[in-house]
Amino acid sequence: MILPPTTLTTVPETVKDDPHRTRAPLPELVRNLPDAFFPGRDPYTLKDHAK
Amino acid sequence: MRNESFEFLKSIEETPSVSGYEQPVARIIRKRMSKYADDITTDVHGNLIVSIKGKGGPRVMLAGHMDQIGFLVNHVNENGYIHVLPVGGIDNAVLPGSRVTIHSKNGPVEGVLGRKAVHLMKPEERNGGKIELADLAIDIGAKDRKDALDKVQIGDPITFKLGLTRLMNDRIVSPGLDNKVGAFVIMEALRLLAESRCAASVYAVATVQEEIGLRGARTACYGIDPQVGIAVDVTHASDYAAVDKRVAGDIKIGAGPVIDIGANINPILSDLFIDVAKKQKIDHQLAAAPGATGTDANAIQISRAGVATGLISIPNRYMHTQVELCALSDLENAALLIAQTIKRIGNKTSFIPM
Repeated sequence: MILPPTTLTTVPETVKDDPHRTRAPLPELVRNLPDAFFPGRDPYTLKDHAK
Repeated sequence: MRNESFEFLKSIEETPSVSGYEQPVARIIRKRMSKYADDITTDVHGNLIVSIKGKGGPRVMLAGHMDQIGFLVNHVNENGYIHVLPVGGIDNAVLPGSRVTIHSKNGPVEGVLGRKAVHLMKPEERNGGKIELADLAIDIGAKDRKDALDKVQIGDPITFKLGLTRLMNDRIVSPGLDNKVGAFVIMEALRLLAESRCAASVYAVATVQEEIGLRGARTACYGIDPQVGIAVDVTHASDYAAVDKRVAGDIKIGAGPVIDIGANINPILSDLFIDVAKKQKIDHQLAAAPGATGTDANAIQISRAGVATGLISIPNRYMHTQVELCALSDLENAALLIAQTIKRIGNKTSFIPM
């Protein structure tokens, strides 16, 4: 069983503090996960895209 | 468990299969399954596909990933210590003090992941502090970099020291039970089905690279194009200290395989599993899977136009450590449940939820 993306996904401090800054690349393991892990959600924050 | 089956399980557990380097285990499975299969192929990704022909029924794909977490040699310093990169979800907390094996092209090289003696630590370092993988190194006893590079090269895969141990009550302990027990279960299910043919054509796939993103199941499922897919993986037993049943559910070692229920699972297929388990009196447990699971079932379900997908899980304590623990009875019951369920799938079985 793969380690769930919620634990793999980290939010860089700069992104938390300033959402307008360029985001760091996603960790490779997270990039490789099927989109179904993040249905309609931001893989960085796991929040709904619409919000 | 029958002796031959146990020896098969032991041999794959004691053979390395770090994600991307699964071939040694695939060779063992291929050899063992040749007497039961109508066909055995390996795809370009490395997935091993063992199949039996049915009697006009649907294609059923079984998926048990044969890869295990581990490391790759990344850097050898001037003193001959080896720094590594993780393959899959490594828990750094369990690493210091571990025995490891580097699987070089010239054979296994034994080593240890050392740790500064507790006597030499500052008070704040004891019983605390985050362990960074970059701060750890493997000691193979080399005198210097050249001495080390005579034995290993960059990119060599590394596992925890392999070995399967039997505990009381048919419990087994080994690194990599996640998920070579899953590959074992699907091959046992196929062996049972080969003895009494069914309507469905069955493709038991020992998949690759699950631990780094469910990658093998994705390509294998596209190639086989099944109507039904059943993944077998481990799940968290919650019958030991520090695991909260309110979060992990109530899952016990030795109480039977787990039938997962939820959005990642076709409801007709999960109902069929439960019905078969009850009628055949096969020990089983239920678990809620509210979203995409961290298993091959996830990749299978959303392949092409969609696949009716089930997930059978093997209770496992201490997942992703060197001492993963499972019960042999759960493996046997999982294989039996899968085989008996597939026998119930005929030409006219519909899995379209209405």
